[in-house]
Amino acid sequence: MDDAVMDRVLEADRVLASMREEVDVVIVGSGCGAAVAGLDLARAGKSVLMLERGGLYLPRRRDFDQREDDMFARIDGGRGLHTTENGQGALTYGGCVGGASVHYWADTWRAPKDRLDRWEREHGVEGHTEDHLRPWFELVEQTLNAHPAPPRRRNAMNRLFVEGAERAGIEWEPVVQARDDRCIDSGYCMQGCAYDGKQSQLVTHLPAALASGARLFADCDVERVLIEGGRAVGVAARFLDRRTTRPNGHRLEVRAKVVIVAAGGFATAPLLLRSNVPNPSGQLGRNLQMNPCPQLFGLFDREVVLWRGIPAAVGSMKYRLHTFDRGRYVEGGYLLHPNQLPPATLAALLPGFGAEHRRLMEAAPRIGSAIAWIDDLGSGSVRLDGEGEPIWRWSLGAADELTVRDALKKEATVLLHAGAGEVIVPDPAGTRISELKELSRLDTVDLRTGSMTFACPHPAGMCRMGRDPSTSVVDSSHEVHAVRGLYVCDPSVFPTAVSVDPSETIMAFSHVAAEGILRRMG
Amino acid sequence: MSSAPPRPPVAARHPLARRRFLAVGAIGGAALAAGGWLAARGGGEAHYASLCPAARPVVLDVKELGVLAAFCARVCPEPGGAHPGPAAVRVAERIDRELSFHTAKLRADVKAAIFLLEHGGWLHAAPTRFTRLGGPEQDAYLRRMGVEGRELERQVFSNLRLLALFFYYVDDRTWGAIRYNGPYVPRVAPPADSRPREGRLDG
Repeated sequence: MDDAVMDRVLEADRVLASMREEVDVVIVGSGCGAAVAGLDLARAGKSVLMLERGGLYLPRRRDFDQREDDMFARIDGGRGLHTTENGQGALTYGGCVGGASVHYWADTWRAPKDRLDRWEREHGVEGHTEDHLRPWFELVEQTLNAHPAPPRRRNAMNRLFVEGAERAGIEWEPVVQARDDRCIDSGYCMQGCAYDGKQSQLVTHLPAALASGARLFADCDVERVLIEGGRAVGVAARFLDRRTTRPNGHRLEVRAKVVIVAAGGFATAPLLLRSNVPNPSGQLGRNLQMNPCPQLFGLFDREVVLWRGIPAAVGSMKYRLHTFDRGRYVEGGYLLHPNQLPPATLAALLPGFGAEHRRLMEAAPRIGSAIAWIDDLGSGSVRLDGEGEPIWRWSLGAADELTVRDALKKEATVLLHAGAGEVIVPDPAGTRISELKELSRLDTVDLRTGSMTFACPHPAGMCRMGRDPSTSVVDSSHEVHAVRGLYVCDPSVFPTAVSVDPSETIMAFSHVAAEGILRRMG
Repeated sequence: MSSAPPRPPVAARHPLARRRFLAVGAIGGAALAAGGWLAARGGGEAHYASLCPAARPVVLDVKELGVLAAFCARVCPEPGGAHPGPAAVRVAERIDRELSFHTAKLRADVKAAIFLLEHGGWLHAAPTRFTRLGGPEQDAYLRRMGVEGRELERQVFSNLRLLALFFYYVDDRTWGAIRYNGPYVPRVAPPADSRPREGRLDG
């Protein structure tokens, strides 16, 4: 974001008193959903104010220093430590201006037609079919400069993944990337791009929204949506001291004709619950799916250097859908990718401790990894504790456990075919597999709570969209059934997980939502 | 504004009385409570202070920090070769500092986890505290906890292990040992957002 738009941004260190604002539209959040809606509404001449709980970090301020500890603290919603109640799911979500797009891998996928059709068929979602979304997908892809990475830019792990998949007979394909020519393949995508090469919201919709007249307050924690007479009329918020993450004593009240909550798939439902949004269907805060990610490691006799290069320039869609035979699970239900992990995160995930773990880490440059994004069948929920803090409840159910075990087998297959001398399972026993005939051992590795942790980067479902107010939270215009003027523009509205990276679909849905809001506002 | 009466801080409540994450069976809970009572009765402040000398914890108390430092000493690489070791990197203090940016709920969970780590032997009729065991016995204790333990023990081991290893290997003094040549961009001092929360403890 250049100086031309920075005068439209307010950060907490410049807030010297409590404030009151009156606008057409207030948007909670600044990630993929918020930024797109903000842009469309501002371009149409509406006065738009976006409120982001996290801080504003920019390459030109040299904020993105590529250190794992600094960057978890700055850009992750839970500073890297938020988990489900049982510790089995590690929640990965945005906590800064730009939301999760600041840490995402830049994979760009359209929601598959089968998933959009299912949402229409089973949930009564209208106006979000592939035909409806196509022009929006095209616009998003143009804005993000979405294109496959050329083969010369595949890092060692991506090349090994291709070798292993081809030898195993697993089809693979390039993954479309949201990058421009400033990307230098540094490998620090998850720590926030220091080069503005990754096309996060910081370099795409957000500056465009600000240039169109929208304003943005960072370090601004929305505590609740204000509801009067069944209609949303604004929000109440407080400013946070970025150095301590504690309230700085100054408050904000915004009165607005329209309230859009786009705080992300993990945070939107808790905000609505804290706001006492009527919940006649009982579905608010339920149906949480989040693409748990099982991963395996492979020890190679050559350098892989898992922390350099574009993370997932290739992948396999072959197993995206579950297959069943007369009701019995056969295989599939996940995407398969080469993995990327910076060193300290790798250390935390590799099994063992003491001398055994030390030996593994001393071989870290030779460690490769494959990861799967599980398309959940089960689901979780969120509730609030006595202090109003969210507690996310989720555990790996029996159906998803079968999917995880199958995904682990495919990961091991790829790694072994790629030449890994040994596959390392991150279970408490530190199971090792060195031959394909040992894959059946993955049928019994310990997946219990407390034994294996799954990164969960793609939340969906806790404000699910649908025609019937008795089974859903928002209607197809993204408006909450029970509260007029309150809209949700983030993956919370997806009735299920998308089965691919959701960012492009979030943006396309937000274009649809903004179009409808403008029509209603006149 | 809420009209509800103020609640005591979560951390002030008994750590074993809350959340399924820390739920233990009645027998286990009683055993731990007995262990905790005996530990409190037995004092041992100097013992714990010696495990993390000259430290000034922010969130944890001296005992908790000492137990955490003892845990890090077994989990992270011993000093030697290119490894500085967890004491030099002050891993336990890094974790303590990190906790100051989290909710009372998360801080209470970590405190309760450290309590169970120190006194969890009671769950197996082995009352010797973790920090009073010798090195090989501590390794066996941790192996039992992480591999064969009940759900709660596995959670405690797994989560503390994750913290210890992460905060060891984020320190640039460890990078030579794993042939990581580090970021491409310099760290700005002070960082643009907040020096205190990330501040190096050695400088």
